[in-house]
Amino acid sequence: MAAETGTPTTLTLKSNDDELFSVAESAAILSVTIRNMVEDGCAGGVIPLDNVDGKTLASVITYMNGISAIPADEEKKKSYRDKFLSDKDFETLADMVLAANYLNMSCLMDAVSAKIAQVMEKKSVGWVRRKFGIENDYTPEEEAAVKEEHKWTFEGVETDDDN
Amino acid sequence: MDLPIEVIEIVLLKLSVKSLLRFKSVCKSWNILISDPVFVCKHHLRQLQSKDSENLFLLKNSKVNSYGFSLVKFEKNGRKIQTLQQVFGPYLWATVLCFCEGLILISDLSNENFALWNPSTRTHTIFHATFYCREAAFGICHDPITDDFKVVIVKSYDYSVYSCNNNSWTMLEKRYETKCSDYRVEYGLGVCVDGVSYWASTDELQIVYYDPRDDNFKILEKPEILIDTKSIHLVELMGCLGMYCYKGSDETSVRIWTKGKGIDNHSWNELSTWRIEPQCLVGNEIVIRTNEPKDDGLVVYNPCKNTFDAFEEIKVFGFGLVPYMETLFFPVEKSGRIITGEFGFPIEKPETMED
Repeated sequence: MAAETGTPTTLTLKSNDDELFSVAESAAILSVTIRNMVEDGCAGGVIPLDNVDGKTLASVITYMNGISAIPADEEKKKSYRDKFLSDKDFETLADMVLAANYLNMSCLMDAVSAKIAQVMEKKSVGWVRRKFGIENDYTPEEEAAVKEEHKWTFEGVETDDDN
Repeated sequence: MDLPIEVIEIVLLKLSVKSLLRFKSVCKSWNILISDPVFVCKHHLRQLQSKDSENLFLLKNSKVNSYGFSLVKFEKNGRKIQTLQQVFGPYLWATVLCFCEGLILISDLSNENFALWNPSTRTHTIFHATFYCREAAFGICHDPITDDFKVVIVKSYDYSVYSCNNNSWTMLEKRYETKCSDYRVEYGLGVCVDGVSYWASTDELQIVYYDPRDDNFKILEKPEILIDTKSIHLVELMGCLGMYCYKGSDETSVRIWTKGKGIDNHSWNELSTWRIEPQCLVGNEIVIRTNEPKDDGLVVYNPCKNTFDAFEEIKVFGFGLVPYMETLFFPVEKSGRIITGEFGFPIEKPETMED
């Protein structure tokens, strides 16, 4: 691997909407998917990432650079992750969790999925269906029965509007 | 946004039990996923390993609802106990007998009716013992292989095991390698660590445990140095089995050991000597019950700084603090004897309990 030569190697990543990004290899190999490509010697030219769009990839690269600049200090890494995710809306988080899953980045996957769970915690069933694009396949009777069984879990839930 | 089901599962594993039960209403596939025993087990393991419930306890209420519990959180770096909500148990004037990984065994005043209660799902199962167990000791075990929770009731000559998976009692003759000829041994309260229930004998220096993997009663080796003490006590310390005893006849000084992690690890490590009686650990700090400054108060001791802080507004009754952990485990819905919902009541604003 090029790291042994002493000069930092740069990789070029290509999103599925054909945007090109340069990223230091040392940061990019946080992704096991990319690391495997590098180790297999497939990273000579441009690395195509067919499941990630340019906007999401830019965000992931910001994270890669940010987190790899922090020395081995779990507290600092955690606070970087918290800050990095704090202003992301649900759609962005959902794109990122898909990207983290595809790129096989466990630390980002953990942080983003925990953030999504945190956002969902007080949300209504309607909100979840809308945001996840899920169709309600219960009959009205079935749905009423499931809700009745866990009635107390609907206390203190945010009202179901479009926010 | 269409997320694949494996990604949805990763997200759902990080949700609270309350949200998971609510989101069973989202669609059939979510209901199936959340009800799946494999998912339940993964969620349970994550709760055991995460620090989400580290500072959460159920505290028996004194005044407002004498049969209720407060779910409280010990604030880190602060001398505050925050009351999150009120939870009703299954019985009036209930006695907490033992607890294990989010489940609590509770009995009514008669000591003949028992309920295995999961406060995070607000469900419980009632069972009746068919034998006299007023002088028995109790424990809950979690068999890691079959994922079965077992309730163990120990008497002098025999013991009974209730399997939650099989929904049945087994009565067994107590046969274990005992070092004394007299089988009449009485035990203190069961302490559950690593899914195993441990008891300290109250009239001789012996620790026994029930191993749910092979359904056997066994004797735990204890530190050799125990010579000048009258009784030993067990406690859970940071996920390990802790043992303490008074130093000789001096009842103000306590020696503490912890056992290595894992059922088959019988090594002991002496922590130190404290002039206190520990109840549980909160982070690096030790929660102690005390008669000062008021009866049944709580004091937190920090061994690093050697400081004591009292929670004066809190009164602890009965079993005192019960560790709280979220779990979807048991009672499972198919058993058909589950009583749900009716004991939960809405979140109230935090209030301090005063005389």
